[in-house]
Order: sequence, then structure tokens, then C-alpha cells
Amino acid sequence: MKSLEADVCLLVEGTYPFVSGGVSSWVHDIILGHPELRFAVLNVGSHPGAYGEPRFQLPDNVVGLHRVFCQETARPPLDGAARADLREQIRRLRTTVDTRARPSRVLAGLRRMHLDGASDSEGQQSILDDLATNDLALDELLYGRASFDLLTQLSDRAAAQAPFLDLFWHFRAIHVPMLRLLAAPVVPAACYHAIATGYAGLLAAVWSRRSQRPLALTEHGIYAREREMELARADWIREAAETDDGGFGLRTATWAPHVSPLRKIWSGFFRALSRLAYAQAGRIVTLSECNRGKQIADGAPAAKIEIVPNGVDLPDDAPVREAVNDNDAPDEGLIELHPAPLRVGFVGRVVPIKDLITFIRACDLALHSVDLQVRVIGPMDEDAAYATRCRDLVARLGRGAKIAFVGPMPPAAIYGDLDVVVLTSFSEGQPLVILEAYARGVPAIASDVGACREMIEGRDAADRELGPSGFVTRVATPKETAAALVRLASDPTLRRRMGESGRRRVAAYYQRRDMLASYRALYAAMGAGDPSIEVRGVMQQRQRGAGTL
Amino acid sequence: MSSRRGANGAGARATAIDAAVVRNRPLPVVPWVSAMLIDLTAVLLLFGDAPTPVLLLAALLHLAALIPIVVAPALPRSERVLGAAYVFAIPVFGAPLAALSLGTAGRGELVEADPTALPAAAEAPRAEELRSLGEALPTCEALLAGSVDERRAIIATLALRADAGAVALLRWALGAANPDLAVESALAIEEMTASFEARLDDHRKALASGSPGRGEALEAAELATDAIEAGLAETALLPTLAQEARGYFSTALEADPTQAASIAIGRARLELAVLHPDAALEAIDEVVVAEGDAGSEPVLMARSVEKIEPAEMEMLLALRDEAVMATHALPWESASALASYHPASPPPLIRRRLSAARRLSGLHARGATGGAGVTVGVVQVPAPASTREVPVEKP
Repeated sequence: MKSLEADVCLLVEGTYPFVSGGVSSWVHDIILGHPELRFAVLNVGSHPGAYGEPRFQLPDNVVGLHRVFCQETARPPLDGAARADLREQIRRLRTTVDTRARPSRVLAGLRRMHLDGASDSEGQQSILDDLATNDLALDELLYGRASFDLLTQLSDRAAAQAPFLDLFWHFRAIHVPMLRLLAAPVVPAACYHAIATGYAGLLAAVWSRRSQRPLALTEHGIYAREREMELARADWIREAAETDDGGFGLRTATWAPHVSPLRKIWSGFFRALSRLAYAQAGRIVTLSECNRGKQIADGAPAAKIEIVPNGVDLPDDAPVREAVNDNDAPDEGLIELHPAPLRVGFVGRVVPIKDLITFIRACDLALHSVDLQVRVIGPMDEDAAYATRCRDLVARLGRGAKIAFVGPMPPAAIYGDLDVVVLTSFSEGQPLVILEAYARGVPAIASDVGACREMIEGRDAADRELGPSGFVTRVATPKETAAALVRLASDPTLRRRMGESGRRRVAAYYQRRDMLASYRALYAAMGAGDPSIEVRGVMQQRQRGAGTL
Repeated sequence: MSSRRGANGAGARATAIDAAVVRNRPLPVVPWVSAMLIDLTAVLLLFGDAPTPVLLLAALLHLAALIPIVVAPALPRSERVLGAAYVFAIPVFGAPLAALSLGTAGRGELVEADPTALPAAAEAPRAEELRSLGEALPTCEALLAGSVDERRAIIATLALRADAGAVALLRWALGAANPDLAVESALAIEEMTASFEARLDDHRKALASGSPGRGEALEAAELATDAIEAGLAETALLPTLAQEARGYFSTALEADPTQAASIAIGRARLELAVLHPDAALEAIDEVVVAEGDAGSEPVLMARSVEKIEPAEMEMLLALRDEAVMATHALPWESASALASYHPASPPPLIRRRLSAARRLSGLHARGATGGAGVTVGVVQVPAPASTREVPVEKP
């Protein structure tokens, strides 16, 4: 790999190239789509060893893959003399770290992040300037008097009801990753492009501030809100015991909900990270109108936000040939209909957030009425327990002959054998799966999350005139998904019409070339790009399609 | 959920007890044995009419007994100091006592729940709690109108409760116009379901791995019953799961027939949850018999010689009330098996005193009617088994 300064440094958190999925595929596509640019990729991971081998073959125009970790590898517990030595080291450190002449600016920035609430853009940039100094060593955070003072302030003002010891450990858990990231050496690049807010967005903002290079931010999902949903269910945040309420059942009383101060601190922290990235980014790109609204509500300046939807290529061999048993079919632009059974596909990773359980239940319900041939297409190794649970459910329902788990497949081989694609996810941004299905004239049934509704029903009046290209269902409602499946199975005309409108929708709004053109203009505006760079083999790789779903 | 769990778990009073926990890292043996042997030598020197030099030597030996402790490299400083203090203060026995005290570690948990303590009595609500109660929105309204933090706290609370009412409310929230609320509710239900399935799988493995005891089988059966009652079990698999739970109850009964009453309670709850009230009555009537004339309050008596605890008897009576009412639900009121899963289904009537049912006391005395039906006023009520068609399965 060449050690050249990159035109664009892409900063991702936990995804490309180590995890397959929508965001990773999108990043891969952006790199392949700009063969004239040199990319560096900075992957923020949780800890060494958290991910296996890369799932994507890095294109030739990637000049560097860098990794930083929020935590170091866990060390085995110390024993006996080693523990005594450590205690002595800590004692010495305490006396050393408290002798610094000037107060830490990073600590001052953290104090304002936590205690000053939402401030204007200048205030955010001032915090970034403080953080960019990186003048707080990890030892000072862990053992210094000043950081302990910040902790006590936080306890008094933001978490008076939380047990101090719990707050102490959460304080460390929140800030240790930050300090590790702030200490990471800057990857030189003409501009920075963060593919989320959060830790990657923070690092991109700090590097942009330090190097005075521009920053763009693309959010597929809304990072802070996704983290908040995780926090609401996190069992690692200890709540007071059920009996600590004087026996009146306050903890289990819905009329007096207990809002955990520790959860609030965590969620406030993630929101603060988002505000920092929003403030520093010159351009903020989002995928859909609904996400734009959420970003504005979370503090993103509306003037910076631009909607650039995902895009796919329309295949040259469009499946428009003839209708089956349909006298009302129009003369041209017809999609070939497969006779029964209806071929149903679930395309995506087999993980809880995709709610495959609801999909299986829906198929089971629909199979009572119509004949289906169901395929689950996607990797199953990310959450083996969940995959086993899904397989067990299929077996217990006695649907093994009808519902098959086929594993990952290259995108080009998926949609030709499907009549409908179903997504029952709890959370989505703007799923590429739906667009890829549309491009092949396959309608979609999707839960009402992210941009799914506007992708299926249209986002504005002109879009809606194309007609629905599938069905939108409520989350975790197998009955509605099953009803949609039965409807499509029993009405070939509707199926064809929806498939056709999906393909028209892609042609009008979701073309890959349009998305790439938007990003090309964005990168050019940020000063990235050098036409003299010779990059070989990129276009060939693009044709091959390095990633699989 | 299970009354058994409620009594032993959440309600237990926190009492100060010494919770000794075996220490994780091994304690070196040599220093303690050496110290004790040196001290023993000193003691032996003291036997008889020991002259002054011998006394001095014994004293020196006692001091020398500290050396193996003080120089032990495997002991941290604090443990060396403590051990030396023991050995110095208590000749001969100091070393073993020190080893004993260091061999256990309380980990600071001086206050732990005493499992033998009685459940704490509920305290009267304070004024501010009553005020919040008065001002609070109904939960469904609070879910729609509360702040994000309140909404999440309510959902977390409902997930913690995980009873039929909580699950019904979460299912209701799936249809909310606010997509965030719908998604968070869906996630909460999914996590409860996943947790139930994982725990049931653990029980299945444990039961399959060896000869099951009463405890394991009963826990598995009650877990399945709880999930069916709460509406967390997979609808399409309800008959299978119910059959599995019945098997676990049978296993538990075979393993310990003296616990027939508590097992009957579980079986009755299960049968009521899967809309088999007649089977619930049979389960209860296997352990108790209702005595008394029609029109008077029936008295439940244990069938066998084993004593039934008053709390168990009370629960059996309540379940019997509910089963009797359920067996006489009119056909157009009856539900399909889906009713136990549907959000609209009411929570079980267990623990509610059904005064109406109690007044119709003749209905309780099923044994007295021979199962052929009873007359209430001018109405001839057919026998329970013939009053309803249960579409799920026959137990």
C-alpha cells in the first residue's frame, strides 16, 4: 500500500472494511466510484481483536488503512506482588500529575461539554479547540485531582441521585476512549469525511480543527439517537435495586418513571459529540427528509444540510419482458412474473436489529394462505446465538422446507430469483437492499423505519405520482407483513405494477451516478482531488463487486 | 409473574450479615506452617522448669516465627502486616487464624439480602408520592406525551415488570404514530422474548443432561407458564409449549409428590393461560376437595395427608374461582387461543377476590354435582367441559 497523503480521509466507526452491511457497502462504493481520488480509511474500533479479517478487498485508490481503538486489550487481573507494585505506581502518579503548572484545556472542554448544555456553533468550536490541544494524559484523567474535581461537579450538578461509585466508573468509561482518540496521530489528508458523528465524528472534527482542513459529515442513521436507544436497554448501567424504594414499588411504577441520571449523562455525552461534529462540518449530508429533521432537532444548522440519497445502478438487462396470465398488462415495460410459489427474500445480516424473527413469523402466517419460497440471504456469523434462535424457530414451526438460510451472496445474483424483498428491521437508514431490488423490478415490503416509507410511497408529490412500490408495515407486526405477502402473492398485476414503479423510482431519484456526482462535487468543493493521480484497476474492481451481502 | 419468585427475591429484607466469599487466589501454605512450627517449638521449650535462658530463647523463637510471614513474597504488604500481628499476638494459633481470615474475603459486601428474612412490609406512600400519583398521566398517555427520557424510563419499567399488562401496553405502543415509541416498544418486547427463550433453552439443556430434580423441572414449567400468561410465547407454538410445560410439571410431581399443592398451582395457572379452565379445575381438584352445601361458602380441604400451606390454599381458592368463572364464559365471550396473546386480553384474575363467583358457591362444588352441571336460580349451567370449545388442543 502506498504511503501517499490522501485526498479524502474517511473516518468510520466499527464498520468498513471489517463489518459487512449497508454502511460498509456504501463506503466501498464511494471509494470505487471516485477512482481519481486517493482515500485513507480510519476505522475506530472498540478494542484490538474485536473484529476479524476485513470483509472487503480494499480498492487500489485506498492509500492507507488506519485503526484506533477506544479501549486497549483487557489485561488479566494482577495478583500479589504485582498488585502491590501497581498500587505504588499509582501513588507516585498521583503526586506527579497534580503538579502541572497550568490547568488542562481538555478538562475545561469536557466540563463545558457536560455542564454547559447546548451552546452555539462558536461555543462548540471553542470546545473543539480545547480538545484539540490533547493536553490531558490518561494518567491525569484517571488519578489527577482536577479530573476528580470535575467528577464531583458532575455528580453535584447532573447526577446527584446516582451512586457516586457508579458515576466514578462511568466517568472513566466515557472519557478514556475520548483521550485515546485525541492522542491518535492525525492522518494527513486534503479533507476529512466522517461517516457518522460519535467517536469517528469527534476525531474528524478535532483533526479538521488541528489541520485546518475541511470536514464533511454523512449520517446514514442518526448516531446519537441510535446510541440512546441502546442506552435505554443497556444492562451495564446499574439501577438501584427494586427494593430501594421503601417498598412502594417506585421502580416498577409507570406513573413515577425513574429516569436514570447515569443514562442521561451517557446520552448527553453522545449528543454533545454530535453537536461538535455538526459545528465543525462544512457540509452535512443526510439520506432522507426524515433524518434531516432529526439532525436539525439535534443541533445541526439547517443551512449546512444536504440530502443525497443512496443510489444504485440500473441494470442493462432490465427484466422487462412479458406478463403471465394478465390481460390488463400494458404493452411495454413489463416485468416477467414467476408462477407460484411467490419467491420471498430477506436480504441482510442475521442480527437482532433486522428483526428476522418477525419476518419468520410473518412467513409462517402467510404460508397458511399462499405458497411461498422464502430465502434468508446474508451473513449469519455476526450474532451466532441470534442466528441459531432464528433457525430454531423455523424448525419448531415446521417450515424448514419453505424457509431456507442460504448465507451471503453477491448482490448481482440475489434479485433475479426473487419476487419480493422484505425488510422487518427495527432500524434502518436508507436501505440499499430496497434500491437494489427496485432496480431489478422487485417490490419491497418494509417496516416503517428510517427512509423506508418515502422510498416505498414517495417523498414528494412528484415521487408519489409514481405509485407505491411495495408495502410499509409497522415494526414487529408479523400480521401486517403477512397480509402484504398474501396480497402480493395473490395479485400478480399489483406485484408487477409495484415492481415497475420501484424501477421508475430508482431511475428518477436513486441512481448511483447521481449520488457519486453529488459527492464528487462535495469533494471538489473541499479541495480534494488531483487529476494527475494514476489509479489502476479500480474500475475493474468495481465491475467485479468486491463485497457480498 | 411467579408468586414464588416475588416472595423470595425482591421482597427480601436487606440485613447486615457477614457474607464470606472464598478468596480467588491461592494462599501460600509454607509461611503459616513455618510460623506455627517455630511457635510450637517455643512452647515445648516452656514445658517443665525452664531456666531464664530457655525462656529468652522461647521468646526469641516466638519473634522468629514472624519471619516466614514478613518475608513471604507471595503476600502483599497489608497481608504480611496482618499475619505478623496475628502471629505475634496469639502464639501458635495466630498463624492458622491469620490464614483462615485471609483465606476468606468479604469483598466489602457487608450488607446482603438475607434469604431467610421475611419480606419487608410495604411502607405507606409519602405525600410527594401521592401527589405524583395524582398528577401523573395514565401510562399510555405518558408514553405518547411524556419527554423522551420519561418515555424510555416507562418502557424500561414495563420491561422490568414483564407481566401481561406490561406486555399488552408495549404491544399497544407498537401502533403509536410516533415511530420512535413504536421501535423502542418493539425492541423491549423482542428483548423480553429473547430472554425468555434463552432461559427456557438453559432449562431444557439442564433437564436433558441428567435426571431432573423437582426444582429444575418446576422452574422450567413456571417459566413457560409465565411467558404464556404474559403473552411472550410464540403464538403458533403455544400448544407445543403448553404441552412441554405440562411434562415439566409431571416430572416435578414425580420427583417430589409432597409438593403437589405448589405444582397444582402452577398447572392451574398454565391451563388458565391456554384457555383450558376445565383442566385447571382438574389440576386443583387433584390436591383439594371442595366441601359444603350449595349456597354456602365452600371449604377447600386437602385431599391427601400432606399439609397445604395457608398461602397455597388461598392461591388454590383464587385460581379455582377464576377457573370456575372461565368455564362458564358464554360462547360469544369466549376467545380463541390467540386471546391469551392478544393485547386486548385482560391480565389473569389471580389474586382478585371474585365476590360474585364466591356468592355462586354452588359452582365451586364441582365434585358435588358430579360434573353434570348445576342450577343457578332458573339457569341450568352445563358441566364445565361442555361449555366451551377450545380450539387449541386437548391437554
